[in-house]
Amino acid sequence: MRVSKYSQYKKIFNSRSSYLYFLFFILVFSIIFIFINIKNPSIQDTLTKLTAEPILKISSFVSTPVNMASNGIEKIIRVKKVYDDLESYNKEKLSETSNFQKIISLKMKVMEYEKLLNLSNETEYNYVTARITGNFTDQFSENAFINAGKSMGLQIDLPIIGENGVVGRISEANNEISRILFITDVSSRVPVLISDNGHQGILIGNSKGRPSVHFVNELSKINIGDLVMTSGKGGVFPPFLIVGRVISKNEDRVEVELSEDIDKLNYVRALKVNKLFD
Amino acid sequence: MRYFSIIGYRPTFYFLVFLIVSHNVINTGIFINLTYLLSLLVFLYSDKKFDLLFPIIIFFTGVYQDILIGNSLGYSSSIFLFFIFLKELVKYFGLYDIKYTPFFTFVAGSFSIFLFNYIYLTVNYQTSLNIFYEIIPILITIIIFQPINIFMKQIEKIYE
Repeated sequence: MRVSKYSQYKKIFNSRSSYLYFLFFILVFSIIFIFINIKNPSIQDTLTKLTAEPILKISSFVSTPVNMASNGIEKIIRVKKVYDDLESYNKEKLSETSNFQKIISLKMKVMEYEKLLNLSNETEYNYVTARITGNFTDQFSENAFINAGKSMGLQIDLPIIGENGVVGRISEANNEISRILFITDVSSRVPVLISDNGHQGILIGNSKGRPSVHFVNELSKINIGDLVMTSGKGGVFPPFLIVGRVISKNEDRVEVELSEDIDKLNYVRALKVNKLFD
Repeated sequence: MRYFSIIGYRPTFYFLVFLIVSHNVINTGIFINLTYLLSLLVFLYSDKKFDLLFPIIIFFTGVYQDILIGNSLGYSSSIFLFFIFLKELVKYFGLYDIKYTPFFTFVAGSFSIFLFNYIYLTVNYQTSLNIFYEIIPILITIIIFQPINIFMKQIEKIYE
């Protein structure tokens, strides 16, 4: 009787010690595979570019029922929030009108100053609005897929903003989809300005916790509640995009509460900056 | 129940793993970490015959997850395979059938993976990770160890 090759291998490994060796071998191979990918990222990039789109399609299809259910629950919560917001909006309508007047007058003032200083309009944006199709909250990485890619003019390192402020940048661009790296990801670094005095620092993500600003020179002059904005340095984020507010101070860093709730994002905008900033 | 047995224990398990990995596109919040949950399932999977395909399939499942999440390829595979190896090692020394040994082996494995990750990220990215957020999914996985164990044994019974 002819015995298949698989059965032959099975016979060889049909003892616990051999199976253990095999497991050890494949585990070591897997660890080596990580280091190969870290040392030579082009292999990973090529593999990801080839497989990301079909894999995301499969994954989205399989997770449709659970996704629909969670979206449904989220929508019900949102509808309730809309009613609550409407009530508070009606109460604050009067003060809002005066705030609007203030904003308009400030904008006019800025325009006047820009004219006096002979400043050119530094940045002009084009937006590409996209839906988040997959949100990944692994233990240490914070990223998501959006349903827009190179075909819509997106490219690596374009800033991504939500309704209230910066959320991240594009880290991977395929034809129809792109991956966003959120500013909360451990590998994210964003040059920022804090407070009216313009103290500079680097916003570093720390997974699910609040990101913190490191390398700030005059930490004592920073107050809780100060506004944190992008500084425009580094060439990825344009200046003066709102990031969040200072929520606490430590010995060597300040913690920031983001103005955008990344977990609840559904739609984001990719900023296509027309005129490059310095 | 009899109809389920047509599909078989292994295909059902692989399907379950595939289903969970695919749900990585859904935001599961700070409490559930699907990588740890899958590690638990892989750890509790009862592999009586030494099936060579099992670690290979788990390796590719890990690669599939890494492409979805955007991790370095091989990261998830290494975690899954580490748990399988750990389990087989404990079995090899004949300790697996002692009460609570699987539980404490899994706890030790989870914390060693967590510590390795934490030290690597803190040193490599020079960031201050919030230990509370990082440890919660591990504790949740440890808490659900027993219910998942019972669930896996029930599935196994169906296919016996």
